[in-house]
Amino acid sequence: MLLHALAGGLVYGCYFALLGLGLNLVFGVMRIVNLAHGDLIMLGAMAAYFLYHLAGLSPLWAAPLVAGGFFLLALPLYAALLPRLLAAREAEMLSFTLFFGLQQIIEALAAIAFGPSERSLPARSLAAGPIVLLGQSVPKSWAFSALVAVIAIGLFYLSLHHTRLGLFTRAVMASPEEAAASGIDLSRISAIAFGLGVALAGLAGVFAPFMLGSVTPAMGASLNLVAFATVVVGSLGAPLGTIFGGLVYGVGLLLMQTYFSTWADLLPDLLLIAILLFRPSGLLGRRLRVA
Amino acid sequence: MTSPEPPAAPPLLEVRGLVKRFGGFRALDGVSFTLRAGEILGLVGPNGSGKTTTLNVISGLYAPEAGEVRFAGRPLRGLSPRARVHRGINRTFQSPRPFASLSVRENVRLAARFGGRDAAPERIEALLERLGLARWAARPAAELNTGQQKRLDLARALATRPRLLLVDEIAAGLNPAELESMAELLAALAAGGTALLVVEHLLGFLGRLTERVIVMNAGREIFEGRLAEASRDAEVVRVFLGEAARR
Amino acid sequence: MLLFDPTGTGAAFFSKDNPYIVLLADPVSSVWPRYLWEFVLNEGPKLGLKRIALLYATNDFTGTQANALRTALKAPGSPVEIVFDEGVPTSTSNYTVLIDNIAAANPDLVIELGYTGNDIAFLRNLQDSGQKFKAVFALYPGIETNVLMKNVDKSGLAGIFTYVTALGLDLKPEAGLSLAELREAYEKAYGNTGVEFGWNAIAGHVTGIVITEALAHADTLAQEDLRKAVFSLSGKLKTLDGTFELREDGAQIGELTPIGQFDAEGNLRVVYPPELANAKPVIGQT
Repeated sequence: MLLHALAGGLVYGCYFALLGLGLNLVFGVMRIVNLAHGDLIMLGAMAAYFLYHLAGLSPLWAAPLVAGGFFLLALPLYAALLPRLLAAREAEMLSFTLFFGLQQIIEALAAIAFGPSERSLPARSLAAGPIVLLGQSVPKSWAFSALVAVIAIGLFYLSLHHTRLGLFTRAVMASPEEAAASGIDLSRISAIAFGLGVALAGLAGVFAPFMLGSVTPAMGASLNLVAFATVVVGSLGAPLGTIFGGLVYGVGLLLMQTYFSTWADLLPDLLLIAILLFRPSGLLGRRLRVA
Repeated sequence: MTSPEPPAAPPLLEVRGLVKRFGGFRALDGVSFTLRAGEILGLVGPNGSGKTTTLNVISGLYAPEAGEVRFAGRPLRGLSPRARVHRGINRTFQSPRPFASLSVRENVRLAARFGGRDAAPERIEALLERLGLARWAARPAAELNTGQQKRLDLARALATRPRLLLVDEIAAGLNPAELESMAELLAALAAGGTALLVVEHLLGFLGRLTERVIVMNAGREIFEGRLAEASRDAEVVRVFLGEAARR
Repeated sequence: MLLFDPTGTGAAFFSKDNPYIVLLADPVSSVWPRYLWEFVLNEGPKLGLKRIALLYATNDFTGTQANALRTALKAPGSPVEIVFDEGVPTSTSNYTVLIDNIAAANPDLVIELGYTGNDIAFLRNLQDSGQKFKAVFALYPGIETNVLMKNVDKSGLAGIFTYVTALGLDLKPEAGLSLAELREAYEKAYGNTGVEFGWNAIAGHVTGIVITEALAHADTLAQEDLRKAVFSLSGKLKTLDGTFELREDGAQIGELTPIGQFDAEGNLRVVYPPELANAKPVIGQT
């Protein structure tokens, strides 16, 4: 049972790393909290649902399409909302209000447009049946989702550490003021980071119907909590710490289900409280914010 | 160590009658001097006398209320700090602020790009080697000690290939060995033709670099000449050496 | 003031000293699983179902059912044994480890009681996990059959036991619409809103009928009179849900839900109680 929880948790955790990655990127670059992140994941799931059921598109094809489409859709959203927010004195606090409002709007509109019923994609649209990993059997569709997550995270890592844009992005994350003084175009980097954050949410959404059984318009808020937990556990503002946070969450959840199943959904809250008490900067992180 | 150039060569930097006020406080009150290529000029004076403000005006962080800064014969008025870096002026900071989570190498690369200079890997590596940072090149800047941070700050400035380097209290916090190598480094820069304007409290360190100093007090120059003679100037003794002696 | 409670079935809502609530459209949770425990106790041993695993979501609806089941299955002289008994949060969407842990307890029958999302995740994970059990009971396939069919597919529902609600029984009501009429009216009204026709749609309809009848029989709109009017319907009103019957504390105990099993084509057949059954339970590899 322990082995299964560990193996399943690692697979599950890869996906949750993807779930939190975009949120942390946006926080890292702009120091704002996108409370609508979970709802963007939900929209990604809905997009995958309709692409499959209306256009017969496999989730593996839908994934790049949704990610690219979300990136492009995020840019006007950025232009409409973010510059004014970032110019505000208390941008971090105000971002809670702004994105909470956005979250409510998305959820309400989605409920009206899609209805509250559960939706999902059949496992065979990705891969049906089990697969043996580390001697443990896990659903193949999970392994596929985790694999896509690993690839996406890998590409993200490479571009962050081996491209000029990535270097600029990390410079902005390290110190926006100094980056601006160094001639880096803050608003361009921020817009790209926001677009990528939304694209990663969309990508995570495509695989949500497999990882979460089914999706509904109301799922966003609870996904936010999980994404936030993986982000804070890893390290707020350090996107790569999120990978670690995702794995901790995945393994932790399955261990909780094995040994304290009734209390399993307390896990994100427990992780958050524990981190805030003992390692406010995250398990891997240095202190990135003063406030 | 300073090698005076033929008087016919125009000065690289001309500072004339700079005035800078912060509210009612006159941080600079008519500062003027010139600096030639390859020359090192020391700027000394008690805290608040206007030394760093002078560097900030030249590097473009502050706009002066009056006066003029000309570089290579052209006025700098209205140019952003970045544009001045592109012209060939760069600086180090009293408290370096590298990108803490970026590696030493990446910090230098960013600076080179900022200066519009090529960030060819071999040039970056050569610079890291010269500044004694090669061993730490892949480490995050946050892990460097004070001396290394100062050298990184200097490396970032040098990555832009400045013709004029403004150096702000680079000796503070360095141990004797570090002081020695830093003095050699700066002297070598000047020997290579770079003009250096050096704000410094440690007169022993400054003395190893140059003889020519300006002593400032309350935003004005009260002495310009040889460092050794400054100690015989009555006003300098009163406002500055008295303070220095207490150290 | 009288609270017409359409489908809030938690046993704790109802007590003798609380005359302010009546449950209208489905039985109280502690009564819901009556046929289930009868089926397990009476038929289980014959079918080779002796080791029971109980997995439930810890909300009022499913938690109360689990408690009632546990009590019944553990009664002295019970021929079955509970070998796994865990509650999970209703937010649970990942059942693979739980399924694995259940398999480790080697049960014959797995009873999984969750909400729609739980049952979808459980049945999908069960299908993808490769684990097989002799028999599996899940709660929602019989309640929101359309939603489950769309999400789990008939391949995932084949062989699954569940409650048979009015959806699968097609009773002849004395008041209100027949199942076909209601389904048609519902599709016409809500067909494109994304809310699937299911047992909850029937419950809403039945709620309306009970209130209509109660108002027709009430002398005044005062609480006592309304309550008396609702109680006057008890045992008499026959709707699509079955016979409406109230306990004195206001809990509904009629409208029972038989036990059914999906066949390979996705049809739900009643297998218990015998007087309603139209098929025999098939025990195999679910």
